[in-house]
Amino acid sequence: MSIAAPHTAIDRFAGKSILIVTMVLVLVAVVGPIGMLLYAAFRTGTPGAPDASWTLDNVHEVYGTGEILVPLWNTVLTCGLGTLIAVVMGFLLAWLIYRTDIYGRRWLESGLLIPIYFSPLSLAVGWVVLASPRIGLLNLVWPFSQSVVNVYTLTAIVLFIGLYYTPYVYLVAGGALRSLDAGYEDASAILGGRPLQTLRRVTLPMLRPQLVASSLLVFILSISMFAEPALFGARIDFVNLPLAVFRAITNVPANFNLAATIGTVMLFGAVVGLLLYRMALSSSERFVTTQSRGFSERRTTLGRTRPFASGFAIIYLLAVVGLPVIALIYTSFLPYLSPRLSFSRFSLVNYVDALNNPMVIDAIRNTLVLSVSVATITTIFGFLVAYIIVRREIRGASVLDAVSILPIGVPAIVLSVGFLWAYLWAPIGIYGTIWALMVALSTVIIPNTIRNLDAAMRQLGTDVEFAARILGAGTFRRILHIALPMLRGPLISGWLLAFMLTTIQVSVPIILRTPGQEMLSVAVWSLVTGSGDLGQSSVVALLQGVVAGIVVLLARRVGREDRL
Amino acid sequence: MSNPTTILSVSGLKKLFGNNTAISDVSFHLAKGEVVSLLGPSGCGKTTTLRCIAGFYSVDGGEIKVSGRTIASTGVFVPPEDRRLAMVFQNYVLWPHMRTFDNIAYGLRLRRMPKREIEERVNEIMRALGLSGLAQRYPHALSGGQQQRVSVARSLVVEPDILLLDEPFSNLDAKLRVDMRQEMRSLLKRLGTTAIYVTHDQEEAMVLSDRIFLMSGGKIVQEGRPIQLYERPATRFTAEFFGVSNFLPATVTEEGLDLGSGLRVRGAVERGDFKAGDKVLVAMREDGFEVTPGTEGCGENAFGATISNRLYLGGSTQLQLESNGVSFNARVVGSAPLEWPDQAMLRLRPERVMLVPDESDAR
Repeated sequence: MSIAAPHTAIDRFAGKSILIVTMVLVLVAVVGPIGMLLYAAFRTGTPGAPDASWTLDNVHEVYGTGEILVPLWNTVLTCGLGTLIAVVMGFLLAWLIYRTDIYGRRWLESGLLIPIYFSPLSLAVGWVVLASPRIGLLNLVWPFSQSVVNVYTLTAIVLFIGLYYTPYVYLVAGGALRSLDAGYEDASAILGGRPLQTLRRVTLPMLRPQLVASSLLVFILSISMFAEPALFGARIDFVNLPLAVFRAITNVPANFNLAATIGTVMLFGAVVGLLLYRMALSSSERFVTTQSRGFSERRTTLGRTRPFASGFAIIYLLAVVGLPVIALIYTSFLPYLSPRLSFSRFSLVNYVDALNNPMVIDAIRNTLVLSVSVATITTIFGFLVAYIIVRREIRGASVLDAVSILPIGVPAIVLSVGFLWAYLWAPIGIYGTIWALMVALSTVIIPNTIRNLDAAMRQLGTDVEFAARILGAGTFRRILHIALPMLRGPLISGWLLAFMLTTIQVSVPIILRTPGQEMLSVAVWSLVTGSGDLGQSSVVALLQGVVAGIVVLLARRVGREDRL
Repeated sequence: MSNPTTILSVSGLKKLFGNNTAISDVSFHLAKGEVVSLLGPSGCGKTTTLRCIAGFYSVDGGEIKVSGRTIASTGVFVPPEDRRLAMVFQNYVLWPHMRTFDNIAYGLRLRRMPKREIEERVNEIMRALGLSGLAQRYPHALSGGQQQRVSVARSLVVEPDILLLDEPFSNLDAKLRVDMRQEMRSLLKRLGTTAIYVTHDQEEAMVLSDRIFLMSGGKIVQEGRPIQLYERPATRFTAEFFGVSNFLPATVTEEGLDLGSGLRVRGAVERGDFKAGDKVLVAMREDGFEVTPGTEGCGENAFGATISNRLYLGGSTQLQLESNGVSFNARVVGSAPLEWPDQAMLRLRPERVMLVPDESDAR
């Protein structure tokens, strides 16, 4: 008679307890602020205020007076057109990389993802330096007297949204094209279909679910973009929804209830968008084609247009990352902006100023502390949530599945207002501490790690755990011995992604900022919008990139050293 | 039913997936030390049955008992980790982050066995499976056959009450597969392990098992020793699954069989439960005929036939013949039939005749 493994009951109990605690914490962190937001919309004052009472005034002001229509229209217009640009660019680039013989394919394949790792606010500051009327660097280089580019326009806002989010579409479209057997396209070609006809009649229709899903994703992500449109729209009185929320909070007197109510408009829009997104994703599963063994990888020959295709991709990268970064570096060495190009007045005065600025020093520390801790928290909880969702060993997994992904759709600024309320209402004095930022940032970032690890865990399959289970491993030991070590790679890359996304977060730290709790992104924002000191803000924007870059390199090294 | 050596008893097992019945009323019993196969085409419910026993599926009816302890029935579910079983998976699922030794030792470590003893047992099983010297290798540095052995070692080292094997050889190449199944059989017999195989390969099932349970449509349709299923199929399904390709409607007569159209068979036909006058199907393997070229008779039970198709298979030639409107599939050793004229004599060996009920008639 064989021996049984001992303590399997304790093992199961420990494992399930961890999963249940995770589920409760994540549900509270996501549902809490959203609930507070809805509550706030119907109150006259901040929580705890002695004279606060129930009211419909805020709701009437937002939904009844038509004042919301301008920001709403601006949001839909800029995000809609921006999404269109991102989708066209993203699919075009993906097709060039994965289906043609474009030059430098190997470099461009991962190179096109570079913009994701840059703070959009820093890039936007770079473009202000490049394309301000008269004094922008591009206008200075332009040999004629009239300005050629102007960053303070609606067009600039739309272009920025479109180009910044292009890599997100490229990622989705590229993934789909990579797994789509080019044999379908060969079959069209052999019947006489020219490349463009094949693209239109075969490739694009097969990628329709990805087209719909990535459009919705970009639209959802872009409606929470507020710092960059605010920067470009400063001279044309541009107001979109997140900016309206921001103004309601920062104006004197602040109206937190109004901010929350405007937030509900975005909340409803986001929930609808998210539902559509999930529908698009689930319909994409129907399109999954049976993997044949002879996987065709034939590429269209570009012929004479080949150099132009590579040039196009390179110009794209220059416009989004290259030029703005060069502009930031240039300005960081200039003591003051001048209407002439000049290298002779270069000095380190901006660097000295920045490093003597207590806000900047605090911001470096806060950014490091918050980014590392938020990345760690979201990796641990993201792993556990993904485990719950994929393995379904405890009840309520499907609820968690639906709720935990909410923060990707609910604009960060809306969630932040909800968190603000939750903190003001909470009996413990968490508001104004670094913990407040940590919790809020973790909630905003966690859907990204969940999505990563969810996919990796599905790929792992269930048999590796069954194999341990039948030998006597309960839930806890299965997680510890099998799932965790096998997901090392995705855990490390998930950590890095969460880290990067935290360093570039603007909305959360701006709404929840208290003196001494700024992050570098907030410092850039304060310097640009407050004193308008482009030199010092360039230094801080670059600093943000350097800090992030160092940590990423360190993490990569640690990750590689004890790799199998 | 439950004699003292019964280690596993499955009775009336039922499993639904949504509205689809995956298996219904599956019952069988295993004696200690017995090696059996669940055999059948894909979708017949063999893997579902195995996974119910393993505990990866709950059951919707019936009962599974191991050594008299109920481990699954409606309302009872002993988790897999408490079932004291072991399983070899189709794709081995060795944990890629553990070395060979750690993969094999995993179950023993869960059992809190002293380190020395773990080392002894793991080394012993590795020797038995010819894995010595590979202890420090990671799975990706092992060949397919070695991975398969490690996966077997990992399961056997814990001395499970019952070893479950889910198509363990299907990912090996043909030569290795033949070697492994013989080796596996002698290893299991030497260790006295009780084992259940799931496979769709009838040859593999025959080589490996003491008994075979042939499944179809979620039910066991015939069980018995390999030779019983091969030589005495109870139904057309069993006969077809074991490679019979001739099914001729016939009537049982006092002297033998009447195939209609004037074709009669005389001689020692194994009738089983059939009696004269019964409508039956004559099941004949391709090598149950003697074929000779020309029109010269070759004795009793021989008919003149026309060759309508010849397929050279390598060591033998497959012939399709027509006689009085009845077609036959026959196989002749060698390639000579390719040169034969179309006219041939076909002799049916009565001792090779198998009779199964004519189900189309029953309807």
